[in-house]
This record gives sequence, structure tokens and C-alpha cells, in this order.
Amino acid sequence: MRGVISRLNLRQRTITRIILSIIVLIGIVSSGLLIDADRLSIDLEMKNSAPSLEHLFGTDWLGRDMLARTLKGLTLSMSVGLLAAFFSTGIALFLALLASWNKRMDQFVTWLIDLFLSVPHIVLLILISFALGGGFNGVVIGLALTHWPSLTRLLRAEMLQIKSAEYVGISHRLGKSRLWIARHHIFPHLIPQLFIGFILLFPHAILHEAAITFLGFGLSTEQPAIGVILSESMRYLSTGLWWLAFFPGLSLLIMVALFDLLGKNLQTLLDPFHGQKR
Amino acid sequence: MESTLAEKPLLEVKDFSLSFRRYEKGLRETRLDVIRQLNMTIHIGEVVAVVGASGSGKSILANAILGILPENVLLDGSLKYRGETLTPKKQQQLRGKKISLIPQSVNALNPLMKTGKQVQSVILSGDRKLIQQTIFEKVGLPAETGNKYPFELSGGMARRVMAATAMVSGADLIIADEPTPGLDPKVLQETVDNLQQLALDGKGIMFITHDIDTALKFADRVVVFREGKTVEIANVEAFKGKGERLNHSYTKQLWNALPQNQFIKDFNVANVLPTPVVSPQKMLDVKGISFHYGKESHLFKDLDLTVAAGEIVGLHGYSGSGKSTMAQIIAGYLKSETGLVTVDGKSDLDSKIQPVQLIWQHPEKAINPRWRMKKVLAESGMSDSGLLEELNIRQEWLSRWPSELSGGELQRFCVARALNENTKYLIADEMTTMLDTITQAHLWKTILRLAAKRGIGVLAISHDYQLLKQVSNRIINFNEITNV
Repeated sequence: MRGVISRLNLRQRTITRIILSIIVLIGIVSSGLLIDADRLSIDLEMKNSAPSLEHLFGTDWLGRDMLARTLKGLTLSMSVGLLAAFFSTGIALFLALLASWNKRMDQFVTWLIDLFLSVPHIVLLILISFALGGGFNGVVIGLALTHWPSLTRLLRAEMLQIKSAEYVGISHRLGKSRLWIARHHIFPHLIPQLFIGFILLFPHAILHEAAITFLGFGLSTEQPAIGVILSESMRYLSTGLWWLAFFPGLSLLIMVALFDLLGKNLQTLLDPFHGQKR
Repeated sequence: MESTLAEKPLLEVKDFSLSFRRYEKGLRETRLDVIRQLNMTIHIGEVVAVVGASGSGKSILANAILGILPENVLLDGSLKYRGETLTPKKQQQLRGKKISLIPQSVNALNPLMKTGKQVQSVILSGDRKLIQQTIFEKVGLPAETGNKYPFELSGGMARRVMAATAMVSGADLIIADEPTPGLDPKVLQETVDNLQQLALDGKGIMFITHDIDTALKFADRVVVFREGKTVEIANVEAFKGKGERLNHSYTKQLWNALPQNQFIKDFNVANVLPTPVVSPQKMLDVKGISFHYGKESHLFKDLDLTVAAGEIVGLHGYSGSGKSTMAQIIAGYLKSETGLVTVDGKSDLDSKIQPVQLIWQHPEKAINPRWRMKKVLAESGMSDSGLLEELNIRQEWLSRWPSELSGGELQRFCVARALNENTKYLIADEMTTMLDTITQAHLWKTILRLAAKRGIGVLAISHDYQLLKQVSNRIINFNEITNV
């Protein structure tokens, strides 16, 4: 195996890693979607059983299969993360392009970034999510509205650099409008940042989703979200039911790590400064 | 044989090749050859000039000798210092101590450290402060320079500080990477004298430049570089007359294309220079513009300048004098504090395609690296295929990325773009400073012909008086019009 890996060149290895992580992530989602409600049903005879071949992750205090619940939970978390990261990146792109308009807009955007960064993430998240009545929508909107500032700051810096480039000045002198320049000069330069920003925002959003759900401000308790599972299992940890928290937590960690791997390898693929190194 | 057995050459480069690994169309790993089969030697007390166009791989060679290349480089052949092969470990030991670099850019100085300290930091033994002060005196820097930060120095002074750093380091091989672009003759002569003094002190010097003229002033041998290959190693004496004693046709062309020599072959510049039509409705008129950066004193005050349609005006001045700032104001990139720029009697030029176009010194910065060349031309509405042909722009280049073309090739695109059908006046700001003489002559030939044909007024800005003498109707000295 090692021989095969070292025979591939850097780019082939990068792409292999990307494909593998995508396959695993798709596997999680599709299995989560394929699991029907029966697998989640209550079976009091099997309650509190330790991990076995029949129930790989064990069962909880109501006899529900933890593997099925974890997979369902991961799927739910992933959709929350995807939606939130997507909207956050959208907001970041919009604000970065807005900042390119003129000095006043730039000041406004910078002020907005500072404002959002000055309040702790989680506090704002809880506030927005709670104000919107919690649930799936509340969490997604809350996450989307709180995760854009650092990416916006990054995109803005990039945008400023391109805006002061000689070729943008020349474009302007050739009679191109600001909108044209934003579309043809600035936007193509932001795509790699945007893409990687999106992928890296994603695990962030999932972890925060789990966190506020755990605190009780997020998804409602009947949904098998990872945060809900973890928060419920806390009560049983002291009685020795370690598998209730261990496996769901580990799966969440693995999924986040997979996304991180995906993001970093995409960066290697897209960013010319990383792309050629060994 | 020059090298006796007892005295091994300071630097010996043998069959040296260097290529970059890169990826083409997805997964195919390819090699981009930058240097192929290079051979050269530098003996003690010798100055060897490496001459070639920008992008021909000169600076990469310097970095290879110092061992500061990026990670995706593949090397072949041998580099020897005093007969010892240069391994990465050896290079690390030697660089800064035995092999020293005078870098190309003045940005190489640490902006947060006083210059005196920076020079002292490379001195290995003795009274550091005293050595630093004597060397500053030797290169002609005022005593208080040591207490200044790099941003407080002019470009020429910063260059002298960098030269001083190399001189005190005790290195016996000094690599000077383009230390002289755009310097005025006095500073240029000083830099050259300093380097020559170093050679007399028994050090070997590799002088990297694209400027044959400067190289010939003090080099013993000239290595001519073309697309990473050594074309010819010629003695300085061979560069005389029409270059009959030069072996390779490329070297001959380079030599003959110098403005003070033949310049453009079979083309009499004086015949083509158009006779300007002077009328107030047909001229670029600059009246009373002033500019200064921040708290600095004025670069120029109440500057007046006119360029008539079809006239080619040469503007002569040295680096750091504010010529480029003036060019940017006239072309509308910067706003002047006072005064007015009128083009053919009109002064409201915002948000339309400009009749005044500027050609920048560095084409790499003037072209979006994420665009294919087709799009670059399309942006300016440039569609004159005759002009593209005249500029020797090949069809296949249109589908390439800017990084796949050399500086000279990119500058042709910049010229084509600036000569779109709406252009009435052209400002060429050190347009050919970074290019080899052959490309320089070729670009000017095209511009002169078009200026005559379409009645375009050209403002040619350069530090090269010989060049301006060849291409302009009249020459203005920048210092005489700045009023400061």
C-alpha cells in the first residue's frame, strides 16, 4: 500500500484523499437517510445493553439502537452545517464585494465585522436561535448570521489587494465599470478562498450546532441530533453507560476531521503556493 | 588554461540544469525547464556578468547557488565552490559567510531595524560599529545613515547599504542580482566602482543584469543567457563596432540593438519620426499639476507639459524622482492636488475608455494572472490582428496563462492593449527597462510606426538617454520641469 502511495505524485495523492473523504461523508449521509423510523423505535427489553455485534454502538435507556441514532444525528448535523456554512459564505462574499464599492461601504463592512466579532460567538448564537424560537430553522439562521465575520475579513483583505493591483487600475482606465471589475477581476480571485472558507466553516458550524443543542437552545429533544444525544447521555455517564457519549462523540469528531482533511487538501489542490510542495 | 591546479575556481557551474515540477491539465506532472546545460566559472578577482532578458532564469541561478530555491525544484549537474560540491548543508554553512547576495529589491532590508544594525549583524569579528562606519564612508553614505530606518533612505542609498552589507560580510563570492536598474549615472558609477574594488580585493563577483551597457563597464567576461541556456561566453573586448568578433548571432543582435548602436535593423528612425501637428485642439496638455506623498516634500509643483498629436516626447529622469507618479496622474490613476490635464481640449474623462493609456514598467503586474491572454486583449477591445502580427504575438499565446509567458512577451500584450482604437496618447513609463535590447528595439519600432500612422502622441519616460535620443522628437529633462 505504501509503495502504491509513494508512486503517485503529489496531486494524485491529494485527489485520492479528497475522493476518499467525500465517499465516507456521502456514506454517512446516505445511510442516515436510508435508516427508517423502525430502527429508532423503543425496545425496552434491550435497554442499556453494552456494544455488541447486534448493536455496534450499544443501546440507550429506552433500548434504541445508538448506531442508528448516531447516523441519523450526523445526517441532521451535516444538513444544518451545510446550510449554515452556505449562507455564511454567501453573506461573506456579498459583504466583501460591497466593501470594494467605496470607502464608506468599506468602513461600514469593517464596523459590522468588528461588531460581530466583539460579541462572543456562542452568546449571539443562543440569542438569535432563541429569538427565532429554536428548532431547525432557528439554529440554521443563528449559525448563518454568526459565522461570516472572520471569512469576510479574509475576503476583504484579498479584495483590497486585488483592487489596488495595476491591472485593475488599467481595467478601470479601459472604461470598465465597478460591477464589471468586481465580476471579472475580483470574484475569480476570491473563488478559492471562498471554497476553502466554506469547507472550513462547515465543521465549525456543526460543532456550534451540537454545542447549543447540548445547552438546550437548539434543536428540540425528539430529534436525534448529536448535541441532543450527548446532552441526554450526560445523565447516564455516572451509571457506567459510557458508550452513550463515547461513540456519538467520536463519530462527530471523525466527521469534522474528515471535513478538515477535505478542506486542507482542496487548498493544496487549488492554491498555487501549496500545490507544488512535497 | 586560466585556472592552474593550485588555484581552483571560486565558482564552477557545470552542466547545470534546473526545472520546476508543475501540473498540466489535471494530473499530468510535467517539468518546466528553466535552466539547461549551463556552464560558467568565476575565478578569484574576476567579474563575470550574466546578461539575459527578464524571465530567462538569471535570478533563479543566483538562488540555486545560494540554495534558497522553492521546494518544487529539481536540479541536475554540479555546482562547485572552490572545488567542493555545494550540497544543501554546505550552502547553508556558506551563504552569508562565504557567498553573499546583493539582492535585486530594496525591500530586502528589514524595515524595522536601523540600517547600521543590519550591516553590523553580518560582521563576524572585530569592532562592529567601527567597521560599519568605515564601510558607510567608503560607499559614500553620510555618517548618520546608520541610525536611520530603510524607509528614510532613497532607493540609491538603500542599494548602497545592501552593497555595504555584502562588502563587510567577508564573503569572497558576491552575487549581485540586478543592483543597478534605473540608477542615475553618478550612483551607477559608484556602485560599479564599489563592485570593482571588491574584485580588486580578491573576490569573485557574479553580476546579474539585463543591461549589457553597464555589464561591459567593468566585467571581465559576459555570459549571455537565453531561455535558460548559455548562448555564448564572450570576453568584453569582443563587444565592439558591429560585433564582428562575437560568435553567436543572438549576442550580435543583442549588441546591435542597443540604442547607441544600430538600434533597429534596416529601419531609419529619423525618417519615421512623425512631424507633429501643433494645434490646441489636438494635444495632451498638462497644466500646473503638483503632488506629494503624506508628509514628504513635493515631488513636483506646477508642472507643465504638452504632447502634440503624433509627437514623441522623451522625458528623462532617474529612479525615485517622481516620473512614474506624474505618469499616473496624467493617465488618470492618481488625482493631482492642483492643475488640470486636458486631452484635445476636453478634461472630463471619468468612467469612459480613456484616450490616454499608460504602459507600465512591469508587465507581470499589469496583467491579471488568472486570465488567459485572449481575455486580456478582449478587455481592451483590441482586435487588430495586423498589430498582433507586427508585435510577433503568436496565435498559440492567446490561450496561455500569463505565468507561461516571459516578461518581454507579456509586455507585447500590454503594448497591444494600450494601442486599442480609442487611444490617442500613450505614456510609456520605463516600458522596456526590464527587457532585453532586441525586444526593446522591436517594441519601439512598432510604436513609432503606429504613432506616425494614427497620429498618436507618445510620452516616453526613461532613465536611458540613448534610447530617448533614438525615439523622440524632443527630450525634456524631468528635473527642469518639477519646480522643486
